[in-house]
Amino acid sequence: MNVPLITRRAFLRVAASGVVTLPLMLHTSLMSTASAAEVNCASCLSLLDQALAADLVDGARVLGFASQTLTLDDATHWSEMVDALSGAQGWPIAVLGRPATVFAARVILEPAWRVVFEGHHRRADAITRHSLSGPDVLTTQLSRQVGRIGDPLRYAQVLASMAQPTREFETRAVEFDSQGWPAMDLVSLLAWPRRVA
Amino acid sequence: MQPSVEQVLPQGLSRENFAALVADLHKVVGREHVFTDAKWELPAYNDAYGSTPLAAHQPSAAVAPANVEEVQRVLEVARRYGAPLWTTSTGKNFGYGGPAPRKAGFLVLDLGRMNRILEVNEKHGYAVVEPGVSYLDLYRHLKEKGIKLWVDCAAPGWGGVLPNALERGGGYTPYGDHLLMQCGMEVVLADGTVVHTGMGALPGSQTTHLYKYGFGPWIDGMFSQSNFGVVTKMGIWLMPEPPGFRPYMITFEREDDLHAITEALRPLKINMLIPSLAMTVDLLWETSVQARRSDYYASKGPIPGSVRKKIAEDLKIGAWNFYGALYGPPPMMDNTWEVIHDAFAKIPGAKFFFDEDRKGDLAWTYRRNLAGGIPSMTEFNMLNWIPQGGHMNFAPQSPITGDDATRQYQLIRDHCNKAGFDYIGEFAVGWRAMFHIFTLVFDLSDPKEKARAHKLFGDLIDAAAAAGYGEYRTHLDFMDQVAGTYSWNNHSSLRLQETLKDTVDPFGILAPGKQGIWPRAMRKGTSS
Repeated sequence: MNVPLITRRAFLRVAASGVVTLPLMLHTSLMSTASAAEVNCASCLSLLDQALAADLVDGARVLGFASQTLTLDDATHWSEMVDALSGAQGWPIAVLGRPATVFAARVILEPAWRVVFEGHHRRADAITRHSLSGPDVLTTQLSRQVGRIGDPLRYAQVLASMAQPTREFETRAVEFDSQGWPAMDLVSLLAWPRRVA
Repeated sequence: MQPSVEQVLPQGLSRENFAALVADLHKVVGREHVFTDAKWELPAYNDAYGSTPLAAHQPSAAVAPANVEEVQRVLEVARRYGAPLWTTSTGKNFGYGGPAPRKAGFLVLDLGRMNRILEVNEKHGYAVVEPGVSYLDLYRHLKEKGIKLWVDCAAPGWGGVLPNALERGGGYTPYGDHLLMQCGMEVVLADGTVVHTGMGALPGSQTTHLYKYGFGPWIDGMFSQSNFGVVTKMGIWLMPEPPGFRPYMITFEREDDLHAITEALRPLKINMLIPSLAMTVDLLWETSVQARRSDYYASKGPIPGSVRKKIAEDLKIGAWNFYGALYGPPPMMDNTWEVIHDAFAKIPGAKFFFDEDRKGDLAWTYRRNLAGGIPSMTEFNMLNWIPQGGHMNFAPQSPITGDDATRQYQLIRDHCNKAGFDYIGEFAVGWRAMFHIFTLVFDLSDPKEKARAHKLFGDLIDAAAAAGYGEYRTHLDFMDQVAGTYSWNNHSSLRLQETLKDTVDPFGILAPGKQGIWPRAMRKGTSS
């Protein structure tokens, strides 16, 4: 089976390099409309629904951030995801995918991780309606950027780049529209290691 | 984010006593494995898909012991404070209440850390597992070790081998009756006593996981769907890899075909020509695992016939879809297939498919895998059917007759269509009866729809009972109502269960209200 996967060992190597928190410039092919944005995804593991992740995983490899595709349809792949999570103890996790896939990931994450942010992205006609809830600083920044970045793959990267946990924060809920994402309803979440949040 | 829920306390416990209880639990399992934060930790123990507010089942805390000794000590703490425990482990139980406790304030006893596969015996075909071992875990273990045994898994592969058997769940191979395949338990009683059931009661027993019944009354069944003890270990028989495996699917065009399908099926099943759990699955169930409702129909209310026809054409499925599998040497499978084919071919419009006919079909692939002992989570995709979809499973038993199948189907379909919901269901045919699983899918973000779903579920219980059909399992919110329908001779069955409860758990700390069985102190004035 050809699974786009960054292995646990590779993840640990990537994660270790994240200690120096190198700022990364998004590749222009991945973020043409927000080319000036700087992101640092190196200290977060991203779980990405296999239905939308192939392109992103390629991009993630270029950028050097750890990602793991997630599917409900394959036992071997599921085991690999569980392995990736056990190698990511203590690190933030960002997840993007279809509702059932993300909920399944959430069930596996909790309570070892705490879900601090959740986004619902619902396609309606030519627009996508975003409902975000989480730390004020995060929802504010995402609501500014989502309109510019314009598609879920780039959104996943920006979300992963904002994964630095803090102890204190105000929770805020925002709703806004953007240009239409691909025709599927998506959910995103960000989870912090239990002892941080 | 889920709505914020306030910290709750076990009934009758002061805040100071609760703090002392938590401190005592820290001493038993370590601070890391006691969860009390209502905002960040305890949502993991909510029922994300129920029709009542999360607060109705909000736990006060969760505690996760690592072994039997810690379970005993947790029970000791619970007895000391009179704190009720609600047991959960790796199985998620979504559709029936998830990991949430029956009442707000109970503590969750999370056995998920007890996840060791203690033994796999290839020669005799069994495994011994702790509560936290999932089907995916066991499957992976067998593959890694090259052991030629199959796992019979529930549809969601993260289900627990032990807890699913205790809840009388089913799988899809010939070993699909999980409680039947269970052999030998270890149980911790409320007073901390550890019991080995069946042959395991004999010191040095050579047959603990080979012969179920031991000597004297067979008590294992007492610990299924019950609150009489905490099961910490179980033997489960595993199916040897067969010399041949040939799964098949038969589609039927008309809703009315359910009668003829069931009549054709009964002799095949009772005579064991279909050894696996045979599945008759409706059109929308098969659709919901691979498409969204809005792909076909954007309006509220039941999907009209013209749209159903379009779905059937697009996905090459029927109004009903029958799944089974042949096992054994190829000549035997060939012979058996002739009989099965001839029985179903009499139904006009029946179409027959094998693996090579349905390449790339997600619904077929996961059904094929289930019949072949390969777990997945594909069925969970059903939750993409509508945005923010919740679900509850209504699960009455039915005789294997066309009349009964049709009567149950029409009863449920008509009730749910009238309430504005789609019928999404399947019949899982066992030894002598069928599990009729109706999944009620509703919009969690719509309070009115949630209320309608809740009412519909209660109405279905009453309507089914009036027709002589009882549920084999139900959601938390309806346990008292379902228990109330088993009322023959002034509820003598429930009264016996209550007598047993008072005897084996006089402290009333184990899963109060499970299946409608309340401890004496909580019995009066309780309701769902």
